Amino acid sequence: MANVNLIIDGRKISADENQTVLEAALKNGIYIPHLCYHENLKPNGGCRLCVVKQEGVDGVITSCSVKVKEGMVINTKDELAENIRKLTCDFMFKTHPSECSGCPKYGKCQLASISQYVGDTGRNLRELKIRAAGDETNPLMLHEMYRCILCGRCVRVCNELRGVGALKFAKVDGRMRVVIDGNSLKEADCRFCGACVEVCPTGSIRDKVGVFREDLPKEVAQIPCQAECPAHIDIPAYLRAVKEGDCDKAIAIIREKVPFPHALGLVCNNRCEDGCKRKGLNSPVSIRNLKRYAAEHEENKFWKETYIKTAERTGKKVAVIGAGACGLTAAYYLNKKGHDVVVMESKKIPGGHMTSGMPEYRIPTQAVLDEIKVIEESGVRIICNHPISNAAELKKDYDAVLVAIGTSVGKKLDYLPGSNLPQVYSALEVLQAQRLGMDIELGDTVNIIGGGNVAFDVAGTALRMGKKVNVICLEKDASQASEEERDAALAEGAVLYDSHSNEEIVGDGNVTGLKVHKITNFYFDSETRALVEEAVPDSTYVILCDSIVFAAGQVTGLTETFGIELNKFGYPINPETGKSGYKTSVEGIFSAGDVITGTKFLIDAIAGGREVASLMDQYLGGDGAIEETLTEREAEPYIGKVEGFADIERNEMALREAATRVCDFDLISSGFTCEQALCESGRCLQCDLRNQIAPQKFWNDFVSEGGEQ
Amino acid sequence: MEKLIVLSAVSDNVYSQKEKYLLDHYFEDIKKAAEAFAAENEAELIWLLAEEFKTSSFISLLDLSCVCFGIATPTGDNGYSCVQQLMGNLPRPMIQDDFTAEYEGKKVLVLTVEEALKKAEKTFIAVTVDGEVKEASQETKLSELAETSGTKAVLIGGLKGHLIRPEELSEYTVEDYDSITVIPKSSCIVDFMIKHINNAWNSSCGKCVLCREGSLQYKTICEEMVVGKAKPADLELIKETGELIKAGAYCPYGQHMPQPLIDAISLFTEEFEAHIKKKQCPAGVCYKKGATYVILPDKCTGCTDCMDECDELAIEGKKGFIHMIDQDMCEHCGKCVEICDEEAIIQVDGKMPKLPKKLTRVGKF
Repeated sequence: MANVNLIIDGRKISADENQTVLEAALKNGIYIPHLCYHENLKPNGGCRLCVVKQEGVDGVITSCSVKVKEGMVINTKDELAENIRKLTCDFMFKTHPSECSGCPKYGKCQLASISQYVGDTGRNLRELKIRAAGDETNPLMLHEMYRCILCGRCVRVCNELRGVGALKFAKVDGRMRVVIDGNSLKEADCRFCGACVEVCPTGSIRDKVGVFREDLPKEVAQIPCQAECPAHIDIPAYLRAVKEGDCDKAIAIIREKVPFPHALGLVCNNRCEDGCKRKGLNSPVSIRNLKRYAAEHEENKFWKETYIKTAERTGKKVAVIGAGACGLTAAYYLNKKGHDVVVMESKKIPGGHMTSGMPEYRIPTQAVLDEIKVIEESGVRIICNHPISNAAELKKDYDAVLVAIGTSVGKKLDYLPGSNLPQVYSALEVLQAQRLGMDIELGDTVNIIGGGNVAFDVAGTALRMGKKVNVICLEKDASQASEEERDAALAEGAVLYDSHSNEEIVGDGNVTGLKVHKITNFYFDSETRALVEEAVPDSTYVILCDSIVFAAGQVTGLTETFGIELNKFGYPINPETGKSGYKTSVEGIFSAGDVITGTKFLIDAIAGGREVASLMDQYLGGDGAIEETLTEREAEPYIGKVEGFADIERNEMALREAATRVCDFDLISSGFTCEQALCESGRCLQCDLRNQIAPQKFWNDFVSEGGEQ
Repeated sequence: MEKLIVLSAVSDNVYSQKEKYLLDHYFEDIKKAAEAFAAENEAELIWLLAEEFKTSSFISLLDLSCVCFGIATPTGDNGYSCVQQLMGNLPRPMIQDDFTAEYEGKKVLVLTVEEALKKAEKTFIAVTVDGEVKEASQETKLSELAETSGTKAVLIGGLKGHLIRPEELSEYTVEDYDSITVIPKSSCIVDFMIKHINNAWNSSCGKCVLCREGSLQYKTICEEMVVGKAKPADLELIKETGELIKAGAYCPYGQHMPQPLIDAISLFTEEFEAHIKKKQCPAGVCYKKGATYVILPDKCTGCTDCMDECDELAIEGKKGFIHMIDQDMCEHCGKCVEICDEEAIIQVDGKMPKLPKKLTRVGKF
């Protein structure tokens, strides 16, 4: 790579011999107007804005496509060049709508910026507006080609950079236009990567309103799955690794943000999929199931050496109360930052809800223990059967304490008559008894009160224990639960009594039934939170059973004796804000996870663990930086054409037959097959590729950047 | 890298017929020379032929798997332009010193029909004189090939050429210009240039702003000259912008595009001015009273199709009302006649039918 010396506008410049005159000028803060040129594309030469004068050469040269040469003398402000530039600008504006303020790209339009710089000559040229109607019939993107000035960047990016070719040039009524190569983007086998939108200098091709969030920075919002994930896992990158057949790499990418890839692959509530842009085409990519696939198809775990390596020890001691997902995540990162971490767990095994609050057939204990083992290998010490009664006392022996006990006490609705009978349980009591091998007396028939996911977890568990199961809930179709979990339990034999309200638990010494009536509608009073219902007259009857399980939520179970300030519901509060937060009333005692948020999802607990770890590291004198890189990323921009891409259907995991799976506690599905995983990962729109494309710049950006040179 | 020779016979053919002539008369020579050239370069050979040759007799002598049909273009000798055609795209040239055109991983070399024939040691140049092809030697003066006494002007070199006075013809040889188009005395130069610039616009590939929009501006302005809409300053506007396009356009075609029009304006300024200022055509070709179009009130269904079609906004009406043509604004293009499904728009000579004077509901007239 040799450098050559040239003079541009009287300034001596040294430039790489592979650079064009335009690139050398821009790099040195000398702005030459340009439009069809784009950093990521081959030179084109069509817009004629970048023409400059080269001493000793007749006429003008096209600076975007002429390489620098030793001794070149360039004048960018030459009169002929400037006149040509003004004419080309005049011509373009005669085809473009004259009113800027109504354009959604107003203020971000490169054409407007250029015309501002170049100026208008007021020539009496003819208005030759393009007669093209706006087209909003395609998914995700819209086309208003009457704004198009034919720089061709969209066509070129789609062909050159992506290898897709969904856009092309065509003559329509004799006039050159950019058109879709087919009746629709789908038909043109568009990959919906958005590169055309990214490079369009005007408002001709745009993302439809609502495709991306507007409250986030553009480069974050443009990868919606990652933006929606509370831990911001680099989803497109790991899906790409799965597509390449490299599950170890996929797991390395996931582990950069979360220590429980397998657990999440099994039970995450996949908010990423709510963000997935592909849902605008047919249905979102099955991200969670691909994560599970990756976790179950790892081979060499090459990431591990880096993963368990920690910083130099700081000598600081940290105690974490609660070995659930939040506590263990925080423990991993705090240990990584060099602090000595002990995790104290009241139960006989670590894992929190993962090993005792959800059913084995959804998340096997062994899978969770395997992931916890990696955390232990990195140096975290876990002590089980070790309940802590007072955090403030514990703090005396440690530099910092984290309260991450979650919500581990199940609620029972005490106001329901009969709720004090011996066979009345909370959902958590049933689930924990099953997972931890404790006795529980359920009888033959179990009535579960509640209609959320936990109700169906209990239903599936009780069915596998050989019980008959009824689920009684207020909501029509148990709409609080995920369809997936509800339908699985119903297929296994649970009977749903929806739109039912409870009157009392019937029984004389022992539970014999649940008295219920039907309702047509209900709501909770906004002030008192009391249930208001519209009952069906004379619909009261008794559903016979031997036990009752309340799936009515969980609480922390904390009391004042724990040594930190609590609100009336038993959640720690930060006296500075009066609300629950990472800080508590005692300096050096932090709290995170369900214990401050109320019962949420696994990914929220992990995200909370990450955040509190960073905060605690700073408290302990560290920099709080917990980001790590476990593998290199290479994302191939040339994605090529895939026939029928937009219509590739979402893959679903095959479930074991309900009659078979209800006989054991094994997972209800063995996950994606290899073919399914390859197909499903290939459905990803690879939204992250768009961030590889150089952002659009305006003339003042170049001039100000030049100051650095 | 493997090589691919494209035998290109897609050059612009508005004024020149040389490719058809050469292929019809010297096909075997061209084929042999092209194949020899390909063998010499250890390259594959593909024929890129203009659509219009599909019916030519020589086609039967070609292996069709090596033939691609494309459209005629002034950039038919440019490698990148040919590759675009092979890919099924519109031709667009790429003109950079170090640019190598590639197709399916192969380096592309273009061989034009004339180059191939030169390799076959045929040294003549095929010159098209008003559509008829003659064989001439390089040094032949153009004046030897065309009878031009008593003509108005001569277009030499077609779209990329010059417009000159007939007496200047002896100053040019066939080496530089291989087509001669004689403009008879009776012709109107403005009328001729409208047709010419339409061809120029159609031939523009559209890649470069100056050629694409410049030719469209010229077409529009020239068309305005014969309907009394152009301004006297337009002649200067064309010349001034023409010089900038010549200096600034991307490819040789664009750089030559304005010249014939600039020449015409310079040589026949008075004739152009007569059209613009006096709204008269000295040759009596333009400004003939156009046909009068009317909308028959009993047939019009008030569908608005003709209103949408009319570029001049000369049709008044709204949905469900009988439409009316404003005769002052009508440009007699006849597009409304074509679009009307009811055959309600007719051309009238002499007596006008009874027409509504203000907007009237369909069926109420």
